[in-house]
Amino acid sequence: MKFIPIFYVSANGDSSKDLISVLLELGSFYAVKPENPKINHIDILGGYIQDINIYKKALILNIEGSNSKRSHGWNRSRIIKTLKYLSEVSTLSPLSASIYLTVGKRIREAWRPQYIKLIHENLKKSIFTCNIDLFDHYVKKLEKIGLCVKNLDNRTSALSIVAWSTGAHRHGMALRQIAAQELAGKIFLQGENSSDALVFLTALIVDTYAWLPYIIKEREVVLTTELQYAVAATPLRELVDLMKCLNLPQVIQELRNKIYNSLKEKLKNIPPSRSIVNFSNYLNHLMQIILQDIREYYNKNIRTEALIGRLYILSKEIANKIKREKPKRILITLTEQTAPILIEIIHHEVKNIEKLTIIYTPQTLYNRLLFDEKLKNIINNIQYIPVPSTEPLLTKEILKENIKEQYDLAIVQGSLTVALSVLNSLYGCIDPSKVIFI
Amino acid sequence: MPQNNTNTCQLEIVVSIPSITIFYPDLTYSFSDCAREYDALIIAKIHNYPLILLGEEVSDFEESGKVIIDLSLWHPPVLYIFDKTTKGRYYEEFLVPLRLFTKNVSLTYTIQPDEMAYIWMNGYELFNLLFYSLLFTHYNTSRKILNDISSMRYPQQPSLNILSELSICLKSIIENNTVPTLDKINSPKYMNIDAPKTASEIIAELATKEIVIYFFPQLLKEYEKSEKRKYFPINLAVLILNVLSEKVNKLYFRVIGTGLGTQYSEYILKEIKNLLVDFEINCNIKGIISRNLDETKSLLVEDAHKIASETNTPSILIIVAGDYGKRPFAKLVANIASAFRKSELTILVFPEVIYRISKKKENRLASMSAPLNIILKRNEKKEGFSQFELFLEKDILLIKSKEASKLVDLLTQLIGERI
Repeated sequence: MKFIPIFYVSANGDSSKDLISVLLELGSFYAVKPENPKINHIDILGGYIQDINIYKKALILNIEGSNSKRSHGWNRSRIIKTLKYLSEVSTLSPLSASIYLTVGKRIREAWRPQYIKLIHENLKKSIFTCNIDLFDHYVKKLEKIGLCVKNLDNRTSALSIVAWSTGAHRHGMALRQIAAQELAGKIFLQGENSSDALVFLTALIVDTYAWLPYIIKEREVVLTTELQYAVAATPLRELVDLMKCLNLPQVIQELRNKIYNSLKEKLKNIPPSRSIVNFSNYLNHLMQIILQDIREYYNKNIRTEALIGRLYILSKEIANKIKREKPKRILITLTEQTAPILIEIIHHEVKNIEKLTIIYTPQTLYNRLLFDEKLKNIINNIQYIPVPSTEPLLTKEILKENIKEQYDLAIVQGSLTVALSVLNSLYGCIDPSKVIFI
Repeated sequence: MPQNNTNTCQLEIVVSIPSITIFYPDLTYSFSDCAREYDALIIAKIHNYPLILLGEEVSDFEESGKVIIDLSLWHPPVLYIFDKTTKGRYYEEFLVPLRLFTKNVSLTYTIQPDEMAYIWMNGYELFNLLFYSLLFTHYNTSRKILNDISSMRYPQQPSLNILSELSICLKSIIENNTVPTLDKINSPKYMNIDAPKTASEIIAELATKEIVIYFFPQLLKEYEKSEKRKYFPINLAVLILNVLSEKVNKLYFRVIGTGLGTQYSEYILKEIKNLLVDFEINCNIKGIISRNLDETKSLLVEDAHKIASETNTPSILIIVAGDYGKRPFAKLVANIASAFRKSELTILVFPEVIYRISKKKENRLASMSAPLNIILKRNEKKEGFSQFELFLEKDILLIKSKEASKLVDLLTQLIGERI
């Protein structure tokens, strides 16, 4: 099998249980959240694999844990079946990678009922496994370069894996942006384990600037349907033609190594950010590194950076608005690209946010759920207001009824049907100089 | 399966809502078909314990394919219903083994499809959010979303009031395992609502003697490759002008274009001009188009002063087709307002894609529609113009009078310019 590895993540004990639980939760679009999975170790190897004439994503899983008849609930077999279902069948799930398993030892004769069942199912469905030696070979290859994740928090790891695995669609593009922003937050706010975060960031950059243009080249309809109005797709459009004369496996390997080494080198010894201004400058630095690497590799200028460009612009605007006065009451409208890190960076500087009002649409349901997970422990008073995105009369009326308090920072973004309704309701509730309309 | 047997459970239907159509939440803006339509959402009780079921009335053997679709959607419990009139032996030939089915009964609704259609004509998108969360997300997630919906303050609006009642009921089922009384949802009086206004009626109400329309078309990259979508702003403009031209003495129409949208705006202007000739619509039409925003602003101001000299406080309509860049929009609107200080200003935004609600029994109630993504032809004027009627009150953002002045005031302050 032609496989190009891009990241490897490993977890033990409770951490492995947590990682698989969050991976299934985020990968299923919040349809499932396993309690206490019965595993004690997991290795996940992500990479690209050739399927007939196209390169797709693949996740190879090495899971150790109970498979016995007595272990009800989320045992190894159920976890793998769920991942395969999500990735290969469920149309609601963003997860989209071929799922492979490792085989630790050669089974010469299956005589235990659970083995017989396992073998039967695998043979019936022609499920091919990856030999553990081959798996180790790929892991060693990645270890040599440094592309192994050992200690990143599980939520960020799971989000990155799901985002990386997504196909060439609008929500997938947004998930890549969200994950990249969260990783930038890990690198610049916390500093610790930043090399782990760089592994996933590298995977997302390679996927965005190599695999996505490659797929767009292969499937032109991507641009005229899913990504038609996606501003983030602009730089990808600029790379599509180049992909026609390049060999994807080679591009992935070379770009992967170039990006990772460049990020590691240029971001080393950066102290954790102390302020939003600081954070914003770091983002700009990161953005320039990505743009320069892409320019050097492809010998082509791209005008905007797709993954963290938006967060950079927003953080700069916020830094300007809160220079003199720290906001306590904040309102934000979510777009598909908005990641919780945007509020975390404000909280990092302000500390005691009294109230946060979050306006979301069905289109940003996933973001709303991510916000809840990350912010519920740092901000006590969060109000979520769902509004329609294509029924603006209702949006206007709902907001008029629900926005009556004073705010001292409002981040108004997204489509004009929602954004103008928000502004309309905010009149008299905020000093206009505290509104970001972007 | 419910049966008339004293030893078995009695199923008491509390609410049965017809035609639940579930759209992917991440495809709201796109003109996408639904993920699945179920004939009913049934909230029932067995010995006072709540039960939420989906009902699927089987009328055709072909429907067995839906079982497979359900497998790709986590398969929420679906009760397949074969009534006496179902031809053949479908329930035996249907995809076996069926999980849940009943035969020789008809699906009954506590809310009739035509009543539901009227409710949803005033808003469906949040119902979709509610149904999606209820059926396809985990218990904790579903609870969060139901909580968001049920804890909002609602204006007096029929569809939102039903939405609120339904979310409170479902929350109670999920959290407390009890079904509250649902008199409001089932009350025919509560359902007695007026049909919403259509786009033509709304536009006609805005007619005055003199009108200036500033038209902001959304940016469509690679519009040359587009076969249908590129016509949305063009058709919208022509249909609006068609309504107004008969009622207005002086009608000015300005197509705005700046930045990356310049070329597409030029194309839109040209196409609108052609259609105006075809449909014999009279108006003073011109483009305010330049790649540079400051230059666009200058062109706009110069033109506005000229219009002002030819008119006597005309009404100003600012119309957005789809979406527009916020900064250029704010800047140009602030300048329009400044040039026509005494005029009444109205802002309208039309989305390209809307939820369309059908009143026809044989159709699913809710579907997505992009009514103006068509090619308007001269000999099909009537048919083409009827598409405009598909836009209902709920689909249009309309900000007028004092609200519009306040909004423009805020936009002016946001761009921080002295005008």
